[in-house]
Amino acid sequence: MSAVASEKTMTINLGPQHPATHGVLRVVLELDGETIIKATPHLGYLHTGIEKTAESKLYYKVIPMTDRMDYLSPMSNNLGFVLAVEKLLGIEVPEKVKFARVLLSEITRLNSHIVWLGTHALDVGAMSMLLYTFRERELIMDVYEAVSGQRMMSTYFRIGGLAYDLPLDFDEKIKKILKIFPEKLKDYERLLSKNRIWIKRLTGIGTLTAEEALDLSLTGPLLRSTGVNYDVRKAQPYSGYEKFDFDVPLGKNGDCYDRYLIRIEEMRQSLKIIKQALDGMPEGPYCADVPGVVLPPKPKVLTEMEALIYHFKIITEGFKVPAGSYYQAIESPKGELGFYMVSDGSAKPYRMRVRPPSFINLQALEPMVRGALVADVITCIGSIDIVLGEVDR
Amino acid sequence: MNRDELTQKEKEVLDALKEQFGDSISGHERTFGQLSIFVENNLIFNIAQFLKDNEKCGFETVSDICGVDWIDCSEMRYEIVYVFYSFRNNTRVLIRTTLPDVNEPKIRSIQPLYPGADWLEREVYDMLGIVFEGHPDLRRILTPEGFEDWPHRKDFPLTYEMPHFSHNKNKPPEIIK
Repeated sequence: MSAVASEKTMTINLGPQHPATHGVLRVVLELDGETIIKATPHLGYLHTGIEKTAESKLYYKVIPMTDRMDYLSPMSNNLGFVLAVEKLLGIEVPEKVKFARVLLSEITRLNSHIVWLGTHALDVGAMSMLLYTFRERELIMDVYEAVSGQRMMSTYFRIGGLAYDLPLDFDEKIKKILKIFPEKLKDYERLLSKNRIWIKRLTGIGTLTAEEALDLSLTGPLLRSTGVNYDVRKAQPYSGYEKFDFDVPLGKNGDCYDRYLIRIEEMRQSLKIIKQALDGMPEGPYCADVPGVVLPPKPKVLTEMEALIYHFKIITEGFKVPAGSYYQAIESPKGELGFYMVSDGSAKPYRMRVRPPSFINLQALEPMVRGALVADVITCIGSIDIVLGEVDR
Repeated sequence: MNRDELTQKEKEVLDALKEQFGDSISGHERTFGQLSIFVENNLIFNIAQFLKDNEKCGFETVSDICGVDWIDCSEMRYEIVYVFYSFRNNTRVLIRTTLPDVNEPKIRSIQPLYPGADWLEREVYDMLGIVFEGHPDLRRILTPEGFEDWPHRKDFPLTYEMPHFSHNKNKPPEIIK
Protein backbone atom coordinates (compact mmCIF):
# COMPACT_ATOMS: atom_id res chain seq x y z
CA MET A 1 0.00 0.00 0.00
CA SER A 2 1.37 3.38 -0.86
CA ALA A 3 1.23 5.86 1.91
CA VAL A 4 1.34 9.42 0.68
CA ALA A 5 1.61 12.01 3.38
CA SER A 6 -1.22 14.40 2.78
CA GLU A 7 -3.38 16.71 4.82
CA LYS A 8 -5.38 13.75 5.95
CA THR A 9 -2.55 11.71 7.40
CA MET A 10 -0.42 12.34 10.42
CA THR A 11 2.98 10.91 11.27
CA ILE A 12 3.75 10.01 14.85
CA ASN A 13 6.76 8.49 16.44
CA LEU A 14 6.43 5.53 18.78
CA GLY A 15 9.55 4.99 20.82
CA PRO A 16 12.49 4.56 21.09
CA GLN A 17 11.98 5.34 24.77
CA HIS A 18 8.61 3.75 25.31
CA PRO A 19 8.00 1.05 27.90
CA ALA A 20 5.65 -0.91 25.66
CA THR A 21 8.21 -1.43 22.91
CA HIS A 22 10.17 -3.81 25.17
CA GLY A 23 13.43 -1.99 24.72
CA VAL A 24 14.49 0.67 22.30
CA LEU A 25 12.41 0.11 19.22
CA ARG A 26 11.27 3.10 17.23
CA VAL A 27 8.26 2.79 14.97
CA VAL A 28 7.19 5.66 12.74
CA LEU A 29 3.45 5.42 12.27
CA GLU A 30 1.51 7.05 9.48
CA LEU A 31 -2.03 7.58 10.66
CA ASP A 32 -5.33 8.44 9.10
CA GLY A 33 -7.39 9.36 12.10
CA GLU A 34 -6.59 6.46 14.36
CA THR A 35 -6.08 3.92 11.59
CA ILE A 36 -2.55 2.95 10.69
CA ILE A 37 -1.63 3.30 7.04
CA LYS A 38 2.02 2.51 7.38
CA ALA A 39 4.42 1.49 10.12
CA THR A 40 8.17 1.71 9.63
CA PRO A 41 10.35 0.18 12.36
CA HIS A 42 13.76 1.75 12.91
CA LEU A 43 16.30 -0.50 14.59
CA GLY A 44 19.82 -0.35 15.81
CA TYR A 45 19.62 1.64 19.05
CA LEU A 46 21.07 -1.33 20.89
CA HIS A 47 23.52 -2.44 18.21
CA THR A 48 26.73 -3.55 19.88
CA GLY A 49 28.39 -5.48 17.09
CA ILE A 50 28.44 -8.85 18.80
CA GLU A 51 29.12 -10.65 15.51
CA LYS A 52 32.14 -8.47 14.82
CA THR A 53 33.45 -8.65 18.37
CA ALA A 54 33.25 -12.44 18.29
CA GLU A 55 35.80 -12.46 15.47
CA SER A 56 38.45 -11.14 17.84
CA LYS A 57 37.77 -13.46 20.75
CA LEU A 58 38.73 -17.00 21.58
CA TYR A 59 35.86 -19.43 21.17
CA TYR A 60 35.10 -19.86 24.83
CA LYS A 61 35.07 -16.10 25.37
CA VAL A 62 32.15 -15.71 22.98
CA ILE A 63 29.76 -17.60 25.26
CA PRO A 64 29.10 -14.69 27.66
CA MET A 65 28.28 -12.44 24.72
CA THR A 66 25.59 -14.81 23.50
CA ASP A 67 23.88 -14.46 26.88
CA ARG A 68 23.53 -10.78 26.36
CA MET A 69 21.66 -11.02 23.09
CA ASP A 70 18.40 -12.44 24.29
CA TYR A 71 18.74 -11.77 27.98
CA LEU A 72 15.51 -13.56 28.78
CA SER A 73 16.75 -16.87 27.39
CA PRO A 74 20.52 -16.98 28.00
CA MET A 75 20.75 -20.77 28.18
CA SER A 76 19.15 -21.24 24.76
CA ASN A 77 21.62 -18.83 23.22
CA ASN A 78 24.52 -20.62 24.89
CA LEU A 79 23.19 -23.91 23.60
CA GLY A 80 23.03 -22.76 19.98
CA PHE A 81 26.59 -21.49 20.09
CA VAL A 82 28.18 -24.44 21.85
CA LEU A 83 26.39 -26.94 19.64
CA ALA A 84 27.69 -25.22 16.50
CA VAL A 85 31.27 -25.21 17.81
CA GLU A 86 31.04 -28.79 19.05
CA LYS A 87 29.90 -29.83 15.60
CA LEU A 88 32.95 -28.20 14.03
CA LEU A 89 35.22 -29.80 16.63
CA GLY A 90 33.49 -33.18 16.34
CA ILE A 91 32.88 -33.47 20.07
CA GLU A 92 30.20 -35.80 21.38
CA VAL A 93 29.06 -34.82 24.86
CA PRO A 94 28.01 -37.31 27.57
CA GLU A 95 24.35 -38.19 28.04
CA LYS A 96 24.11 -36.35 31.31
CA VAL A 97 25.18 -33.11 29.64
CA LYS A 98 22.52 -33.54 26.97
CA PHE A 99 19.82 -34.09 29.56
CA ALA A 100 20.96 -31.17 31.69
CA ARG A 101 21.08 -28.91 28.65
CA VAL A 102 17.59 -29.90 27.57
CA LEU A 103 16.28 -29.39 31.08
CA LEU A 104 17.85 -25.98 31.45
CA SER A 105 16.77 -24.89 27.95
CA GLU A 106 13.20 -25.70 28.86
CA ILE A 107 13.55 -23.83 32.16
CA THR A 108 14.71 -20.95 29.99
CA ARG A 109 11.64 -21.29 27.81
CA LEU A 110 9.51 -20.98 30.94
CA ASN A 111 11.46 -17.90 31.92
CA SER A 112 11.05 -16.22 28.55
CA HIS A 113 7.37 -17.05 28.19
CA ILE A 114 6.49 -16.05 31.71
CA VAL A 115 8.13 -12.65 31.35
CA TRP A 116 6.37 -12.31 28.01
CA LEU A 117 3.03 -13.08 29.63
CA GLY A 118 3.53 -10.50 32.36
CA THR A 119 4.74 -7.71 30.11
CA HIS A 120 2.22 -8.43 27.40
CA ALA A 121 -0.59 -8.31 29.92
CA LEU A 122 0.85 -5.07 31.26
CA ASP A 123 0.84 -3.59 27.74
CA VAL A 124 -2.73 -4.58 27.21
CA GLY A 125 -3.84 -3.24 30.55
CA ALA A 126 -3.94 -6.19 32.96
CA MET A 127 -1.38 -4.80 35.37
CA SER A 128 -1.54 -7.33 38.18
CA MET A 129 -0.31 -10.14 35.89
CA LEU A 130 3.20 -8.72 35.92
CA LEU A 131 3.43 -9.05 39.67
CA TYR A 132 2.19 -12.64 39.63
CA THR A 133 4.50 -13.76 36.83
CA PHE A 134 7.56 -12.11 38.34
CA ARG A 135 6.82 -13.86 41.60
CA GLU A 136 7.01 -17.22 39.79
CA ARG A 137 10.05 -16.09 37.86
CA GLU A 138 11.99 -16.01 41.11
CA LEU A 139 11.84 -19.82 41.20
CA ILE A 140 13.58 -19.92 37.83
CA MET A 141 16.11 -17.33 38.88
CA ASP A 142 16.87 -19.51 41.88
CA VAL A 143 17.73 -22.39 39.57
CA TYR A 144 19.96 -20.15 37.47
CA GLU A 145 21.71 -18.92 40.58
CA ALA A 146 22.15 -22.44 41.93
CA VAL A 147 23.75 -23.80 38.78
CA SER A 148 25.84 -20.86 37.66
CA GLY A 149 26.00 -18.32 40.45
CA GLN A 150 24.24 -15.69 38.37
CA ARG A 151 20.58 -14.90 38.13
CA MET A 152 20.33 -13.66 34.58
CA MET A 153 23.51 -13.98 32.53
CA SER A 154 24.20 -17.56 33.45
CA THR A 155 26.96 -18.50 30.95
CA TYR A 156 26.60 -22.04 32.21
CA PHE A 157 27.16 -24.12 29.09
CA ARG A 158 30.69 -24.72 27.88
CA ILE A 159 32.09 -26.12 24.68
CA GLY A 160 32.10 -29.82 25.47
CA GLY A 161 29.85 -29.77 28.49
CA LEU A 162 28.85 -27.63 31.41
CA ALA A 163 30.81 -25.18 33.53
CA TYR A 164 30.37 -27.16 36.75
CA ASP A 165 28.43 -30.17 37.90
CA LEU A 166 24.79 -29.67 38.82
CA PRO A 167 24.43 -28.51 42.44
CA LEU A 168 23.21 -30.80 45.20
CA ASP A 169 19.91 -29.02 45.71
CA PHE A 170 19.17 -28.98 41.98
CA ASP A 171 16.52 -31.71 42.08
CA GLU A 172 14.76 -30.04 44.95
CA LYS A 173 14.60 -26.69 43.14
CA ILE A 174 13.29 -28.23 39.92
CA LYS A 175 10.70 -30.25 41.81
CA LYS A 176 9.49 -27.05 43.39
CA ILE A 177 8.96 -25.57 39.93
CA LEU A 178 7.20 -28.71 38.75
CA LYS A 179 4.88 -28.51 41.71
CA ILE A 180 4.09 -24.80 41.69
CA PHE A 181 3.95 -23.96 38.00
CA PRO A 182 0.99 -26.08 36.86
CA GLU A 183 -1.21 -24.50 39.53
CA LYS A 184 -0.05 -21.02 38.67
CA LEU A 185 -0.61 -21.57 34.95
CA LYS A 186 -4.18 -22.49 35.79
CA ASP A 187 -4.47 -19.27 37.77
CA TYR A 188 -3.17 -17.21 34.87
CA GLU A 189 -5.65 -18.81 32.54
CA ARG A 190 -8.44 -18.22 34.98
CA LEU A 191 -7.48 -14.57 35.09
CA LEU A 192 -7.05 -14.08 31.36
CA SER A 193 -8.43 -16.72 29.02
CA LYS A 194 -12.09 -15.86 29.45
CA ASN A 195 -11.54 -12.28 30.52
CA ARG A 196 -13.74 -10.16 28.27
CA ILE A 197 -11.27 -7.30 27.96
CA TRP A 198 -8.39 -9.69 27.25
CA ILE A 199 -10.37 -11.43 24.51
CA LYS A 200 -11.48 -8.14 23.00
CA ARG A 201 -7.95 -6.77 22.91
CA LEU A 202 -6.38 -9.91 21.44
CA THR A 203 -8.85 -11.76 19.23
CA GLY A 204 -8.61 -10.91 15.56
CA ILE A 205 -5.67 -8.55 16.14
CA GLY A 206 -2.45 -8.93 14.17
CA THR A 207 -3.83 -11.75 12.06
CA LEU A 208 -1.45 -13.54 9.73
CA THR A 209 -2.12 -16.35 7.30
CA ALA A 210 0.13 -19.36 6.93
CA GLU A 211 1.32 -18.19 3.49
CA GLU A 212 2.25 -14.76 4.82
CA ALA A 213 4.09 -16.31 7.72
CA LEU A 214 6.11 -18.62 5.46
CA ASP A 215 6.89 -15.80 3.06
CA LEU A 216 8.16 -13.62 5.90
CA SER A 217 10.42 -16.43 7.21
CA LEU A 218 8.68 -16.36 10.57
CA THR A 219 9.38 -19.04 13.14
CA GLY A 220 8.40 -19.90 16.68
CA PRO A 221 4.98 -19.31 18.24
CA LEU A 222 4.31 -16.66 15.61
CA LEU A 223 4.48 -19.25 12.83
CA ARG A 224 2.74 -21.96 14.80
CA SER A 225 -0.20 -19.66 15.56
CA THR A 226 -1.01 -19.80 11.83
CA GLY A 227 -1.21 -23.59 11.94
CA VAL A 228 2.18 -24.48 10.43
CA ASN A 229 3.67 -27.34 12.38
CA TYR A 230 7.32 -26.40 12.61
CA ASP A 231 9.42 -26.80 15.70
CA VAL A 232 13.16 -27.36 15.34
CA ARG A 233 13.05 -29.68 18.34
CA LYS A 234 10.80 -32.02 16.35
CA ALA A 235 11.92 -31.31 12.79
CA GLN A 236 15.66 -31.54 13.28
CA PRO A 237 16.29 -32.67 16.85
CA TYR A 238 19.46 -31.55 18.59
CA SER A 239 20.99 -32.27 21.98
CA GLY A 240 18.88 -35.42 22.41
CA TYR A 241 15.42 -33.87 22.01
CA GLU A 242 14.28 -36.93 20.05
CA LYS A 243 14.17 -38.89 23.33
CA PHE A 244 11.54 -36.69 24.89
CA ASP A 245 7.83 -36.93 24.51
CA PHE A 246 6.04 -33.63 24.01
CA ASP A 247 3.48 -32.00 21.73
CA VAL A 248 3.77 -28.92 19.59
CA PRO A 249 0.73 -26.73 20.17
CA LEU A 250 -0.73 -25.16 17.03
CA GLY A 251 -3.14 -22.30 16.45
CA LYS A 252 -5.84 -21.78 13.87
CA ASN A 253 -6.51 -18.12 13.39
CA GLY A 254 -3.01 -16.68 13.56
CA ASP A 255 -4.02 -13.82 15.82
CA CYS A 256 -2.65 -12.52 19.11
CA TYR A 257 -5.05 -14.64 21.17
CA ASP A 258 -3.82 -17.83 19.52
CA ARG A 259 -0.24 -16.86 20.30
CA TYR A 260 -1.20 -16.39 23.93
CA LEU A 261 -2.79 -19.85 24.05
CA ILE A 262 0.22 -21.40 22.30
CA ARG A 263 2.71 -19.91 24.73
CA ILE A 264 0.69 -21.05 27.74
CA GLU A 265 0.51 -24.56 26.29
CA GLU A 266 4.22 -24.49 25.45
CA MET A 267 4.94 -23.80 29.10
CA ARG A 268 2.95 -26.94 30.00
CA GLN A 269 4.90 -28.95 27.44
CA SER A 270 8.16 -27.56 28.80
CA LEU A 271 7.19 -28.74 32.26
CA LYS A 272 6.54 -32.16 30.77
CA ILE A 273 10.02 -32.23 29.23
CA ILE A 274 11.60 -30.96 32.44
CA LYS A 275 9.95 -33.78 34.38
CA GLN A 276 11.18 -36.39 31.91
CA ALA A 277 14.68 -34.95 31.92
CA LEU A 278 14.83 -34.86 35.69
CA ASP A 279 13.54 -38.40 36.08
CA GLY A 280 15.83 -39.80 33.43
CA MET A 281 18.95 -37.81 34.32
CA PRO A 282 21.81 -40.27 33.93
CA GLU A 283 24.86 -40.40 36.13
CA GLY A 284 28.15 -39.43 34.63
CA PRO A 285 30.63 -36.66 34.03
CA TYR A 286 29.44 -33.12 33.43
CA CYS A 287 31.71 -32.55 30.46
CA ALA A 288 33.34 -34.51 27.69
CA ASP A 289 36.88 -35.75 28.13
CA VAL A 290 38.62 -33.86 25.36
CA PRO A 291 42.06 -32.72 26.49
CA GLY A 292 43.00 -29.38 25.08
CA VAL A 293 39.42 -28.22 24.54
CA VAL A 294 37.58 -28.84 27.80
CA LEU A 295 39.14 -27.49 30.97
CA PRO A 296 40.37 -30.27 33.27
CA PRO A 297 38.71 -30.51 36.70
CA LYS A 298 40.21 -28.23 39.30
CA PRO A 299 41.51 -30.97 41.68
CA LYS A 300 43.52 -32.41 38.78
CA VAL A 301 44.93 -29.01 37.88
CA LEU A 302 46.30 -28.70 41.41
CA THR A 303 47.85 -32.15 41.48
CA GLU A 304 48.82 -33.17 37.94
CA MET A 305 51.31 -31.48 35.66
CA GLU A 306 49.55 -32.30 32.37
CA ALA A 307 46.24 -30.97 33.59
CA LEU A 308 47.92 -27.75 34.65
CA ILE A 309 49.52 -27.34 31.24
CA TYR A 310 46.24 -27.96 29.46
CA HIS A 311 44.46 -25.53 31.72
CA PHE A 312 47.06 -22.88 31.05
CA LYS A 313 47.07 -23.44 27.31
CA ILE A 314 43.28 -23.38 26.94
CA ILE A 315 42.98 -20.15 28.92
CA THR A 316 45.81 -18.33 27.16
CA GLU A 317 45.82 -19.65 23.61
CA GLY A 318 42.44 -21.26 23.30
CA PHE A 319 42.03 -24.25 21.04
CA LYS A 320 42.11 -24.51 17.29
CA VAL A 321 38.90 -25.42 15.52
CA PRO A 322 39.20 -27.25 12.18
CA ALA A 323 38.33 -25.15 9.14
CA GLY A 324 34.76 -25.42 7.98
CA SER A 325 31.35 -23.92 8.40
CA TYR A 326 28.13 -25.09 9.94
CA TYR A 327 24.65 -23.68 10.43
CA GLN A 328 23.17 -24.83 13.72
CA ALA A 329 19.51 -24.11 14.33
CA ILE A 330 17.81 -24.51 17.68
CA GLU A 331 14.32 -23.71 18.91
CA SER A 332 14.77 -20.77 21.22
CA PRO A 333 11.66 -19.50 23.02
CA LYS A 334 11.24 -16.88 20.31
CA GLY A 335 11.72 -19.10 17.29
CA GLU A 336 14.52 -20.57 15.25
CA LEU A 337 17.84 -19.33 16.56
CA GLY A 338 20.62 -20.07 14.10
CA PHE A 339 24.36 -19.87 14.53
CA TYR A 340 26.35 -19.95 11.32
CA MET A 341 29.95 -20.49 12.36
CA VAL A 342 32.83 -20.16 9.93
CA SER A 343 36.22 -21.34 11.09
CA ASP A 344 39.50 -20.86 9.23
CA GLY A 345 41.38 -23.26 11.47
CA SER A 346 42.52 -20.72 14.03
CA ALA A 347 41.53 -20.29 17.65
CA LYS A 348 39.07 -17.50 16.95
CA PRO A 349 35.89 -17.68 14.87
CA TYR A 350 36.45 -16.31 11.37
CA ARG A 351 32.83 -15.29 11.21
CA MET A 352 29.94 -15.79 13.54
CA ARG A 353 26.53 -15.09 12.14
CA VAL A 354 23.50 -15.15 14.37
CA ARG A 355 20.07 -15.69 12.91
CA PRO A 356 18.07 -13.87 15.53
CA PRO A 357 14.44 -14.99 15.70
CA SER A 358 13.16 -11.67 17.07
CA PHE A 359 14.78 -9.68 14.28
CA ILE A 360 13.13 -11.71 11.55
CA ASN A 361 9.81 -12.02 13.36
CA LEU A 362 9.74 -8.25 13.77
CA GLN A 363 9.36 -7.96 9.99
CA ALA A 364 5.81 -9.14 10.50
CA LEU A 365 4.95 -5.99 12.43
CA GLU A 366 4.16 -3.89 9.36
CA PRO A 367 1.70 -6.38 7.75
CA MET A 368 0.19 -7.08 11.16
CA VAL A 369 -0.66 -3.51 12.06
CA ARG A 370 -1.63 -2.17 8.65
CA GLY A 371 -5.24 -1.04 8.90
CA ALA A 372 -5.35 -1.55 12.67
CA LEU A 373 -5.68 1.03 15.41
CA VAL A 374 -2.88 2.68 17.38
CA ALA A 375 -3.59 0.69 20.54
CA ASP A 376 -3.22 -2.54 18.55
CA VAL A 377 0.37 -1.72 17.65
CA ILE A 378 1.33 -2.28 21.28
CA THR A 379 -0.56 -5.56 21.33
CA CYS A 380 1.18 -6.70 18.15
CA ILE A 381 4.67 -5.75 19.31
CA GLY A 382 3.97 -7.61 22.52
CA SER A 383 2.68 -10.72 20.80
CA ILE A 384 5.70 -10.96 18.48
CA ASP A 385 7.76 -11.25 21.67
CA ILE A 386 10.85 -9.29 20.78
CA VAL A 387 13.95 -8.66 22.81
CA LEU A 388 15.81 -5.71 21.40
CA GLY A 389 19.15 -7.00 22.54
CA GLU A 390 18.70 -9.78 20.07
CA VAL A 391 17.12 -7.71 17.30
CA ASP A 392 20.08 -5.32 17.21
CA ARG A 393 22.84 -7.54 18.58
CA MET B 1 25.15 -42.02 8.20
CA ASN B 2 28.23 -41.30 6.21
CA ARG B 3 29.13 -37.68 6.21
CA ASP B 4 29.45 -37.37 2.48
CA GLU B 5 26.35 -39.32 1.56
CA LEU B 6 23.36 -37.29 0.45
CA THR B 7 19.88 -38.11 1.63
CA GLN B 8 17.26 -39.03 -0.95
CA LYS B 9 15.68 -35.58 -0.85
CA GLU B 10 18.97 -33.71 -1.03
CA LYS B 11 19.96 -35.79 -4.03
CA GLU B 12 16.71 -34.93 -5.78
CA VAL B 13 17.21 -31.24 -5.14
CA LEU B 14 20.78 -31.32 -6.35
CA ASP B 15 19.92 -33.29 -9.48
CA ALA B 16 17.02 -30.99 -10.32
CA LEU B 17 19.28 -27.95 -9.92
CA LYS B 18 22.03 -29.47 -12.04
CA GLU B 19 19.58 -30.41 -14.76
CA GLN B 20 18.18 -26.89 -14.91
CA PHE B 21 21.34 -24.84 -14.53
CA GLY B 22 24.10 -27.15 -15.71
CA ASP B 23 27.56 -25.75 -15.17
CA SER B 24 26.39 -22.77 -13.16
CA ILE B 25 26.18 -25.15 -10.22
CA SER B 26 29.89 -25.22 -9.62
CA GLY B 27 29.91 -27.90 -6.94
CA HIS B 28 28.54 -29.16 -3.70
CA GLU B 29 29.75 -30.49 -0.39
CA ARG B 30 28.13 -32.21 2.52
CA THR B 31 29.87 -31.45 5.76
CA PHE B 32 28.61 -32.31 9.24
CA GLY B 33 25.42 -33.58 7.67
CA GLN B 34 24.62 -30.34 5.91
CA LEU B 35 24.44 -29.81 2.16
CA SER B 36 26.04 -26.72 0.63
CA ILE B 37 25.65 -25.99 -3.06
CA PHE B 38 28.04 -23.56 -4.72
CA VAL B 39 26.50 -21.48 -7.49
CA GLU B 40 27.39 -18.60 -9.81
CA ASN B 41 26.39 -15.23 -8.44
CA ASN B 42 24.60 -13.97 -11.57
CA LEU B 43 22.01 -16.74 -11.40
CA ILE B 44 21.02 -16.44 -7.76
CA PHE B 45 17.59 -15.01 -8.54
CA ASN B 46 16.74 -17.80 -10.98
CA ILE B 47 18.01 -20.43 -8.60
CA ALA B 48 15.96 -18.99 -5.75
CA GLN B 49 12.92 -18.97 -8.00
CA PHE B 50 13.56 -22.56 -9.04
CA LEU B 51 13.99 -23.64 -5.43
CA LYS B 52 10.69 -22.03 -4.54
CA ASP B 53 8.54 -23.13 -7.49
CA ASN B 54 9.90 -26.52 -8.46
CA GLU B 55 7.84 -29.36 -7.02
CA LYS B 56 10.84 -31.46 -6.14
CA CYS B 57 12.47 -28.65 -4.17
CA GLY B 58 9.65 -26.72 -2.51
CA PHE B 59 11.75 -24.37 -0.39
CA GLU B 60 9.10 -22.07 1.03
CA THR B 61 11.33 -19.90 3.12
CA VAL B 62 14.78 -18.38 3.35
CA SER B 63 15.92 -18.74 6.95
CA ASP B 64 19.03 -16.67 6.82
CA ILE B 65 21.37 -14.70 4.60
CA CYS B 66 24.94 -14.32 5.77
CA GLY B 67 27.82 -12.43 4.23
CA VAL B 68 31.41 -13.45 4.84
CA ASP B 69 34.44 -11.37 3.92
CA TRP B 70 37.35 -13.49 2.67
CA ILE B 71 39.86 -10.70 2.43
CA ASP B 72 42.96 -12.84 1.85
CA CYS B 73 41.47 -15.01 -0.87
CA SER B 74 42.71 -14.21 -4.37
CA GLU B 75 39.77 -15.49 -6.46
CA MET B 76 36.97 -13.82 -4.57
CA ARG B 77 36.29 -11.41 -1.80
CA TYR B 78 32.77 -11.91 -0.44
CA GLU B 79 30.78 -15.03 0.09
CA ILE B 80 27.03 -14.91 0.54
CA VAL B 81 25.35 -17.87 2.16
CA TYR B 82 21.61 -18.35 1.74
CA VAL B 83 19.99 -20.82 4.10
CA PHE B 84 16.86 -22.22 2.49
CA TYR B 85 14.44 -24.41 4.35
CA SER B 86 11.65 -26.59 3.06
CA PHE B 87 8.88 -27.26 5.58
CA ARG B 88 7.29 -29.79 3.26
CA ASN B 89 10.37 -32.00 3.02
CA ASN B 90 12.11 -30.96 6.23
CA THR B 91 15.27 -30.19 4.29
CA ARG B 92 17.77 -27.43 4.78
CA VAL B 93 20.14 -26.39 2.02
CA LEU B 94 22.88 -23.79 2.04
CA ILE B 95 23.31 -21.99 -1.28
CA ARG B 96 26.71 -20.34 -1.39
CA THR B 97 27.92 -17.84 -3.92
CA THR B 98 30.96 -15.59 -4.18
CA LEU B 99 31.53 -12.02 -5.28
CA PRO B 100 34.79 -10.52 -6.56
CA ASP B 101 36.70 -7.72 -4.87
CA VAL B 102 35.29 -4.67 -6.61
CA ASN B 103 34.42 -1.22 -5.41
CA GLU B 104 30.69 -1.83 -5.21
CA PRO B 105 29.88 -5.55 -5.11
CA LYS B 106 26.46 -6.33 -6.49
CA ILE B 107 24.08 -9.24 -6.49
CA ARG B 108 20.45 -9.54 -7.45
CA SER B 109 17.95 -9.34 -4.63
CA ILE B 110 15.68 -12.28 -3.90
CA GLN B 111 13.32 -10.09 -1.89
CA PRO B 112 10.61 -10.14 -4.63
CA LEU B 113 10.46 -13.92 -4.26
CA TYR B 114 10.97 -14.24 -0.53
CA PRO B 115 9.64 -11.17 1.32
CA GLY B 116 11.40 -12.46 4.43
CA ALA B 117 14.73 -11.70 2.80
CA ASP B 118 13.98 -7.99 3.08
CA TRP B 119 15.71 -7.19 6.36
CA LEU B 120 18.27 -9.94 5.92
CA GLU B 121 19.52 -8.34 2.72
CA ARG B 122 19.41 -4.92 4.30
CA GLU B 123 21.61 -6.21 7.08
CA VAL B 124 24.16 -7.71 4.69
CA TYR B 125 24.20 -4.39 2.82
CA ASP B 126 24.59 -2.47 6.04
CA MET B 127 27.44 -4.62 7.33
CA LEU B 128 29.36 -5.51 4.17
CA GLY B 129 28.26 -2.95 1.59
CA ILE B 130 26.96 -5.50 -0.87
CA VAL B 131 24.29 -3.92 -3.05
CA PHE B 132 21.21 -6.02 -3.66
CA GLU B 133 19.83 -4.97 -7.03
CA GLY B 134 16.07 -4.92 -7.23
CA HIS B 135 15.57 -4.54 -3.48
CA PRO B 136 12.74 -2.06 -3.03
CA ASP B 137 14.05 -0.37 0.10
CA LEU B 138 17.79 -0.90 0.49
CA ARG B 139 18.62 1.31 3.46
CA ARG B 140 20.98 0.76 6.35
CA ILE B 141 19.24 -1.06 9.15
CA LEU B 142 21.41 -1.36 12.27
CA THR B 143 24.03 1.36 12.04
CA PRO B 144 23.04 4.97 12.72
CA GLU B 145 21.98 7.42 10.05
CA GLY B 146 24.89 8.95 8.18
CA PHE B 147 27.25 6.07 8.93
CA GLU B 148 29.57 5.55 6.03
CA ASP B 149 31.72 2.48 6.62
CA TRP B 150 31.05 -1.23 6.31
CA PRO B 151 31.71 -2.67 9.77
CA HIS B 152 31.82 -6.39 8.95
CA ARG B 153 34.53 -6.05 6.34
CA LYS B 154 37.75 -7.47 7.66
CA ASP B 155 39.65 -4.26 6.96
CA PHE B 156 37.36 -2.35 9.31
CA PRO B 157 39.22 -2.19 12.61
CA LEU B 158 37.57 -3.36 15.77
CA THR B 159 38.32 -0.26 17.81
CA TYR B 160 37.32 2.23 15.17
CA GLU B 161 35.35 5.19 16.35
CA MET B 162 33.66 7.52 13.94
CA PRO B 163 33.90 11.16 15.02
CA HIS B 164 30.40 12.60 15.12
CA PHE B 165 31.43 16.25 15.19
CA SER B 166 34.55 18.36 15.58
CA HIS B 167 35.08 21.76 17.14
CA ASN B 168 37.89 22.41 14.72
CA LYS B 169 36.20 23.82 11.66
CA ASN B 170 39.27 24.21 9.49
CA LYS B 171 40.65 20.73 9.83
CA PRO B 172 38.64 17.64 9.04
CA PRO B 173 38.35 15.38 12.08
CA GLU B 174 41.04 12.76 12.20
CA ILE B 175 39.97 9.18 12.20
CA ILE B 176 41.50 7.06 14.94
CA LYS B 177 42.04 3.60 13.58
